[in-house]
Amino acid sequence: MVFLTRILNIRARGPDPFWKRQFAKRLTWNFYGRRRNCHKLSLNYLRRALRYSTEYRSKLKTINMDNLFETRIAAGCAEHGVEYSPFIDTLRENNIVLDRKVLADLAIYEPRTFQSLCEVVKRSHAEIFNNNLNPSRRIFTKGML
Amino acid sequence: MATQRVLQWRAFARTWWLYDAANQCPFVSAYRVVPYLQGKHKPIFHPLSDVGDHVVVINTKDIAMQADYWRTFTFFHHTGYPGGFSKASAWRVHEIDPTRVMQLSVYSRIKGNLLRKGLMRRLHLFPDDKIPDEILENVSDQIRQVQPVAKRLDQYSEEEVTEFPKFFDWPEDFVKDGYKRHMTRKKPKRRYTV
Repeated sequence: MVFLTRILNIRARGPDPFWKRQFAKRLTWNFYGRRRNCHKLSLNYLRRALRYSTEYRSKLKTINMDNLFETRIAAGCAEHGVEYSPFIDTLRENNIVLDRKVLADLAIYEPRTFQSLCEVVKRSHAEIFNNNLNPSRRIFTKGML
Repeated sequence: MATQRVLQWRAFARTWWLYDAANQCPFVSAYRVVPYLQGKHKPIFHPLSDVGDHVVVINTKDIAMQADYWRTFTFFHHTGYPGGFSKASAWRVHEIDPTRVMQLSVYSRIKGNLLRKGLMRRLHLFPDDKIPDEILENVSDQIRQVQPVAKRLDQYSEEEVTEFPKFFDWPEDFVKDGYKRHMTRKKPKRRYTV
């Protein structure tokens, strides 16, 4: 097979590389220093930024939502005179298995249910307090062991 | 549904809170007051929804500072122009404006974002307990104080003072307070602006 013309040997070059750099600039415009404008310098930082954004897309969302749930539950607890961390711990100790999302939803849409949960926590605390009032329950001597 | 609409009005309505700053630390009070301005005391809180409340702080001229903070704690200011720096100790700022220390401590407690100015606008500060009626009529509840108010010696009756148990009486020729503190108030070099 003989090629009579050299037309097929011409490389297809595509569009101007300027547009490729413009595409990268759309992602690096907010970087600091020369990595914002110098294309060759920005490439490594852009790769890293894209990797981080993929990695933290799910993580940051969970972190933010967890913080929001905690704020909401703490606000609901404060209405009934309970603090957040004892509330969560005591619910777990009493085998009331509700996650923070559900608790936050209860605090907003079912305030009476949330109030009863607070009441459970308060009674549990009172029970522990009463149990510890008797010193014989707290003091261990040689003969008891 | 009409009832749902009314429920939403009630949930998102701004309530007004009263906080008595008499004999309270302004820095600790700021921790107590700021969540009410941000709306973090409500279960419906979300950073993008504007659910903060108004807080009316009264008796700011009677705030109490721990240790010798009135003398040592300094407030700084810079106008942004060369030579625009000025500073003043807390007592000096309090002398110029009795609401200023409370305002600055709340301001510095809030995170520096675009919401800060709006939140500060919902904080109403009054040096004494005289509040305009149009503000007082909105107030529906009060915020708990951060520290117990101690009673001064002159607020006890003479009977309580004399009957207070003591081990011994001082001899008559005993000099209880011989050392007089010299109070020298220097004028600040540059006037504290703002």
